[in-house]
Amino acid sequence: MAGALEDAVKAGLRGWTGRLAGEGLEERLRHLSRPENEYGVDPFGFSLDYTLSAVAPLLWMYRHYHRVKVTGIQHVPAGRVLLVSNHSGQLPVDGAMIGVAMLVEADPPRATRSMVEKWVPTLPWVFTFMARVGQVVGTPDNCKRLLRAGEAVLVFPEGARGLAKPYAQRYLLQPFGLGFLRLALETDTPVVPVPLPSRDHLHFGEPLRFSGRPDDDDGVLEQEVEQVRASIPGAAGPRPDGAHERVPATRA
Amino acid sequence: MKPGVVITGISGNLGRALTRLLHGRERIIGVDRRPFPGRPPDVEVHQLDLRKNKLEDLFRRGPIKAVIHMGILHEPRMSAAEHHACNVLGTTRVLEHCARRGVEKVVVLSSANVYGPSPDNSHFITEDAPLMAASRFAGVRDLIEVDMLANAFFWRHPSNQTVVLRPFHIVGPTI
Repeated sequence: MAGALEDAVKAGLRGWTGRLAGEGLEERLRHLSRPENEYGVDPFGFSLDYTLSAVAPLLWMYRHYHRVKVTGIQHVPAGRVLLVSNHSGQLPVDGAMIGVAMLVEADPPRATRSMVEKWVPTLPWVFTFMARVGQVVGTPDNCKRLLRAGEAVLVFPEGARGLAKPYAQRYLLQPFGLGFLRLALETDTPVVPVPLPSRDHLHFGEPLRFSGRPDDDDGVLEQEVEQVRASIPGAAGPRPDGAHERVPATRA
Repeated sequence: MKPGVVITGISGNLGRALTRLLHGRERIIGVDRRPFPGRPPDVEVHQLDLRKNKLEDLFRRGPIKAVIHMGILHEPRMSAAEHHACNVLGTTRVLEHCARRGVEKVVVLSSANVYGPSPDNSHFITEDAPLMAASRFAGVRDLIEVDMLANAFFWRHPSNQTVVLRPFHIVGPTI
């Protein structure tokens, strides 16, 4: 009974995705397959079938509520890449919009694996859902394995600091952790900044490539991290005309 | 005399399954506190506690080429102190005999449970990961200590081949 209901909901959502995606895209998404085991999930719990159903409401929001316009997605290189973003609010809707853009705008479509906070797996049901749509606990080892497998990994180097900031500081960028840069150096991965919030305009920046020792002192790496951070608005502090203004996603 | 294979904990499900696998090919010497009803007549089973001196007699009596140590108690009704002593001291004794008699191969059955579930674990745990299970469930400390003893043995006695198995749940029709 519950199984039949689940299947019906999945099939319904899957149909909705198909209609929203349009014919050509529907066809392309089918090629987004990856190694899956007998339960239909990849080694990290991602399921393409599940994701194409679950993405329907997000895709609707993407098309009809946020009406996202995407620029620069051609900057995302093929193969392993670290997408560096900042998100505001406890619900990662903005992060989800990046994932949707990578699915429907990138050519070929890409599945985005985002690194989530370590408490997320303590949430029953929620984490199963998150894993099925490609999210992974943000440990360095997980990130390295995904990058070595050629995945696009979305990270939020502000960490919990970025999530838990008060409303008045919602456009103020918090300091970045250094972990993502060490991983980029260790795995020789290009970094693409994706600034948020940008509800109507999602811009993928030019890929930044770094060279150096992944085990350099914090002080050395901080300069390079600052380069990534500076490509995201809000890094310099609140705007003089008030932080409530929406910060443009693209810089002149 | 054909060199024997000692199986501790032979009366358990895994011990009996292993006996079926080795029976007819190896000279099996079983050790368990429990009886082994229905054992094949040519399999000797000694009902004794691993801490007893009688265990050493088995090693004295003839050459032993391998020890498969599965005699690790998982008995929640037993007192914690007795449980701990039996497992830790029993394993210590078994490993001592292996070292003294130069047993070629030593296999210790631990469990993947020694790593402990934790929301911040990486998706794939490698065998050099810290054994954190006791942080949430103290009852598993015996197993962790047994695993550590086997690890120390591995490094201290390179001439004995030591294998520490950390299997996940073992399921199947014969278990």
